[in-house]
Amino acid sequence: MPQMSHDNERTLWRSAQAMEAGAAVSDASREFPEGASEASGFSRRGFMQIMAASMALAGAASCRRPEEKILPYASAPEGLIPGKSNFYASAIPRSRGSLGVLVKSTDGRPTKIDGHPGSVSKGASDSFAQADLLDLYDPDRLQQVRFHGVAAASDAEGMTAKYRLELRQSFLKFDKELEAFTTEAKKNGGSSLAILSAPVTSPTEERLRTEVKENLPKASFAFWEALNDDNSAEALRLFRGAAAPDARLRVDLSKVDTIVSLDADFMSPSYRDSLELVRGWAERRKLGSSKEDAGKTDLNRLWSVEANFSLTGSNADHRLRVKPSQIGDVLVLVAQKLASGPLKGLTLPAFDSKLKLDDLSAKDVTYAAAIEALAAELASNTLKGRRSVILCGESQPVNVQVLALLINSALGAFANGSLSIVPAAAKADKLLGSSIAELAEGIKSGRITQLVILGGNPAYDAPAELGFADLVAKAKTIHLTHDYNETSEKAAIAVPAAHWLESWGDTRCSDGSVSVIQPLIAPLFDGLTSNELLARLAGLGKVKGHDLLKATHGLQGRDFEAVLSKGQFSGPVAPLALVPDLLGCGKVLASLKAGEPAEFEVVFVPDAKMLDGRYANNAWLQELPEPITKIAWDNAALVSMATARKLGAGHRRSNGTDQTDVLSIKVAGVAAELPVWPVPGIADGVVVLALGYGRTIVGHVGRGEKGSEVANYPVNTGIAAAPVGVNVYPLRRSGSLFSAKADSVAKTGKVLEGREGPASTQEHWAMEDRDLVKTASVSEFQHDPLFAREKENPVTASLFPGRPEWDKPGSHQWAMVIDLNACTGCGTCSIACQAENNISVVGKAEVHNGREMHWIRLDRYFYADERWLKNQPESLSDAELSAKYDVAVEAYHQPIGCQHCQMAPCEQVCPVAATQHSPEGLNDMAYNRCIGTRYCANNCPFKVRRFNFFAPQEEFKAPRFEVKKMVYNPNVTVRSRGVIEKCTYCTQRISEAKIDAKVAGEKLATDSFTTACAEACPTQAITFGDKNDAKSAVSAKRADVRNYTLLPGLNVQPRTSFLARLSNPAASLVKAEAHEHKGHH
Amino acid sequence: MSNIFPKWVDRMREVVAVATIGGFLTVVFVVNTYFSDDNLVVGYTPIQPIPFSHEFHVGQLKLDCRYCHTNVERSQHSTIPAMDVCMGCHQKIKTEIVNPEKKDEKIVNPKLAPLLNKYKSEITVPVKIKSDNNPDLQAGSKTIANPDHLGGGQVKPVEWVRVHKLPDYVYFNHAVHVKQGVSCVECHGRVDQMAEVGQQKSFSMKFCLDCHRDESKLYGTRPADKVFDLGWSFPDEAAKKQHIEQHSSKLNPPKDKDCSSCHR
Repeated sequence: MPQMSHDNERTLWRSAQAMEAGAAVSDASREFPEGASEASGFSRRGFMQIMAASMALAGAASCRRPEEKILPYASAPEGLIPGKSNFYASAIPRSRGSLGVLVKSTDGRPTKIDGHPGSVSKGASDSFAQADLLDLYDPDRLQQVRFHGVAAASDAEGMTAKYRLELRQSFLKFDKELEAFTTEAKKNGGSSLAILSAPVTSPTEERLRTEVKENLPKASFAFWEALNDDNSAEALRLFRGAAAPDARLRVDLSKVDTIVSLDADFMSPSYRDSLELVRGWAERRKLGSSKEDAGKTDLNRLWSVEANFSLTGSNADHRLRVKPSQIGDVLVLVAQKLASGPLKGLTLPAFDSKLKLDDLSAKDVTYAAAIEALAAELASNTLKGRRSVILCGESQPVNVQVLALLINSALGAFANGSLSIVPAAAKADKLLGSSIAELAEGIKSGRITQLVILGGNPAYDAPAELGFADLVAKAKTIHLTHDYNETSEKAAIAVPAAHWLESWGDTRCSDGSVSVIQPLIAPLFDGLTSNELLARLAGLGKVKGHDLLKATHGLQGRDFEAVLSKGQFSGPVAPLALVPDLLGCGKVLASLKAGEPAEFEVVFVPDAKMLDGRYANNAWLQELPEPITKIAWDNAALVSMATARKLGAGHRRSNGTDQTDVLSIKVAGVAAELPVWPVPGIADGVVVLALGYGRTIVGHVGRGEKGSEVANYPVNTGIAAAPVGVNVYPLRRSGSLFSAKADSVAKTGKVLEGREGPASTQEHWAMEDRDLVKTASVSEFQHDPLFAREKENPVTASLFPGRPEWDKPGSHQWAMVIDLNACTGCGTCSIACQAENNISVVGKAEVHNGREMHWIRLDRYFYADERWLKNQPESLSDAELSAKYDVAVEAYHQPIGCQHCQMAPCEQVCPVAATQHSPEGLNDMAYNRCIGTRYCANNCPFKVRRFNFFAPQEEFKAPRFEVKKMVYNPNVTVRSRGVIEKCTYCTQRISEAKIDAKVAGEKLATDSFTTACAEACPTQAITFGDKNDAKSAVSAKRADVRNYTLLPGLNVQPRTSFLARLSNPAASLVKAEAHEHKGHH
Repeated sequence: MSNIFPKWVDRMREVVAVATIGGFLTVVFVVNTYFSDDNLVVGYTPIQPIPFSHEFHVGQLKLDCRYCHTNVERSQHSTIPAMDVCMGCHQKIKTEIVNPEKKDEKIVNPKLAPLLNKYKSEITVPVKIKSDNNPDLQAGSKTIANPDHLGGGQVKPVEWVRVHKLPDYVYFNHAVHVKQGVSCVECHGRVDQMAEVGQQKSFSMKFCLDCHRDESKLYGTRPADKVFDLGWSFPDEAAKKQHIEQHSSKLNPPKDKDCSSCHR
């Protein structure tokens, strides 16, 4: 009922600890996280002394103006206008689904990556795409060819003539070595040679592989990717019969009414084709609602069956927490219920699930009831012609995947186009490929003595039992790699790879279209592409990637240029007809067995930031808080609150320091020790471990070290330099790549104190008030469409005069609306903002201090119905109460940047007028005027102002860091130490659009541009525009009945508003609650 | 008890107070007057590697500003010309002059030498040499590969010295000003009369705001076809008034007085 959203009945917690302690958000005792307001390391007096001395010196030094040089082009490149950005179509090659992108080039260097509007993502991007830019300019990239046992040339002095010469020489030496290598391979027709890589998505690479095969007929190819989709690919193959041509599944969720996710965390950017899926989901979550339309609201319904509390789970309408071994059981139980309906004729094996069906899966809902309701919904959907899709995560075994495909087929998902089968590589990978296990066998037996590894890091992420690191050392290995990693260290030769922003190439996207990869910049460190290396193995000599690409597609001149401007060689391909191999499927289904739950089970999740570990040296991603735990710079052993209690482990605060217990998790005889982190809602007896951490051979960011003596970035004062997080790959074996049964899980007795423990931002920047996320179920919304609106008229009188220009017709008045119904909480906006606005990174110790600089933070609130919790028997023990939290918990996400208040409290307290209101409604910040009193941050009710404790640009004093300067957006000031900063609504983009319109003599089309966050958002949950323009998208959203602003009682009149969140629980599962409500009032 | 301090010390308090206040005011006055941009920056005329004369090229030859500063109507930068633009004429024109020392010999025009020499694959540099019959060092010359000539038509650029500079935290856009009818002369002065370019205006924030807050609503603008005519001015007050009336509404003039117009 509408009252749901009122303060006294809705309590939000920022963390598990707060929840247990009963400390709701409103109890925030401190306005700021401790370190965020006080300097540390030196006294105030010492600070004054240093400042006085430096002022005096600065005064003396500034008498003479420094002479600055301007260097013109010798001959200007055609079409390049200095100061004007160009955009180039390219693509990010990924074996998890390539992404077409538009890359912004400013004065010859790429400065921003966004999705290509014509690609499957429709212009959106994810945090990896945004952060790839930082990888390009990573000073820790491999810059020279390194030979095992030979000391590397030092880059400490930067790009000196001597260093350049050494780089050149290393490549010349490599040319010789490679020639000897191929001659050696040629002797036996290539039978001693194997080439290991991630699955191929590039037609040119496929062509070159056949060429290699011609040159070295006996050479073998192997494929490995830690986050592979072997299970689902195998399931699809069995489903269609072994003779069917290679293909892959494509999912279109945009018209689907019921989505069932079986451990398929498709909202995490680490999931295959996540952008396409999440956009499809959001299509049916967004509703333009006037009061009259509310009754017609028809949202999709997302069911999530999972062990972890994933991003997808946090956005699901119904969530079933199940141990990983029993996730398949849920599907079989649903299938059994459907046997009399849509699944008639399918024989399921006798099945005796050990799932305790009478337990509560959620508040007031037992597993039995949930499964019953789900089955009923699927059955009724088929009758009513509504669409349902079951998404099966990679963790599920092949037989469960096949069952999911069969159910999907029976529910008509293939017939109605929600699922389709897209032809994969023209020449199937299988033709040339083998598994990494077979390769390991070959090296062990001595059959394979020469190994070429194209990218990746198998010594770090291959299944533990293979001992792949030793095998890399055993064979003569050439590793083509972006950074010098665990594999390169063991390899005989490590060759720098070109970044995709430096490469020519092509890649196949999920719809079968082939996108072009075109370079934005010449290779910074002479890296090779895998195509170029393959060409040399194929005996084609040193052919440039550009020529290899043209040869594949047979294009020249204008035809080729047309492809470049379009970004695609060929468009989407027609899906294949589906002919299920029912006989084969029947055999597979016969192997279905009820899961045997162990006391403790481990889930290995792909990390939403590190992916498989490849982004370990990317400071933007390291500092992005994980969507659910909000931990930055670490991984932890996530357990439910009940399990944490059972283990006697937890995270607490005593005597002013944080203390985190350490768990020892033993799987197949190998133990890993990680700090424990209780998260309500994880299945009991499950430990969730994120992959991709604990890299040891990695750049300075991943090692947790300062880059150089002068660099204060990342600033890790007070804690010892150590690899970020703990490597859990040693626990991960073939056959249990995504979940495993643990031998034991126990508290070690070790305690991580203070800043040694995981740094989580979840309790930072608490807003001392409630009712920030307004939410209702669809039926409640239909009953009271205006539930998000204020029931009482807020105070509007103010002592401060208004500004007449705010309402002046014709003037631009910028505003933003964030649709909480479409926001998944993924954090892409945070990274996009960081890339656009030159936001600095502070490091783990400073995140502990609360000094993170993100202009957009993603608030994640836990919510559990207090009435329900209180309605329990009095005698509940603490452990039982914890278990109740686990059952009842829900999570909400809310992005918070500067709200651009019209009556901004920050402006009124600035002593130097550094922050002022613009006539267009922007809360302007003049950095050069700011003296750093931080009064504004104190007075900001939303806690969105960030203070620069550090000067990140100081790191450029180290010569080797010079390359990183190139990542900066030249249109945004790089802030210095001692200055406050915050979201500007991308004022540089507003200015640019206005200037372009004025120069062209046209009226500004206010929807022709948008902010970086809105542009990147995978679900387009953010809308920015001119609220005075009646036709703008933002005006329409502001008129929505769900539109509300935060903290209306303060009368600050924010320009950013939110659209309330709706959930869509199944009617049969909320009935009981509705009655209770009635009884309540 | 005798007085330790003589009587006149009593007056020291007033003297010190007056001196302190006076001293402070003097410092403020001196800093404000002599350390202002008007004093420190105006007139800055660095020596350029090539003594390019705007006075000759613009004033006498009447080259349009945009012949060299090609992007001034399109970009935030007016952009100094690529060396190709110089070479467009100076491949042929004035490449050589008569050697003032030997009238029958021609030498490379010394003013253009820093430009022209970059396009030579080899250059002659003076060296001191010893010969067999003369053990003392003697001035001679030798030919070496030109380090400025990079091959493939590429040469190292001429290093001009920047004259007009705004701080890094100020974002100024040439195109929008020029397109709105603000002439070059408003900020750069009579460049067509400068043999060497020097800074004429202070480029302080006040300097910008003086136009942006101009109450006469002229905002430094003029008719679009006169923007690059540096010597032009309104023929009379009536024409000026007419211009203001015609354009002030259309220009929808620089209401951009807010911080974020220039500080991003």
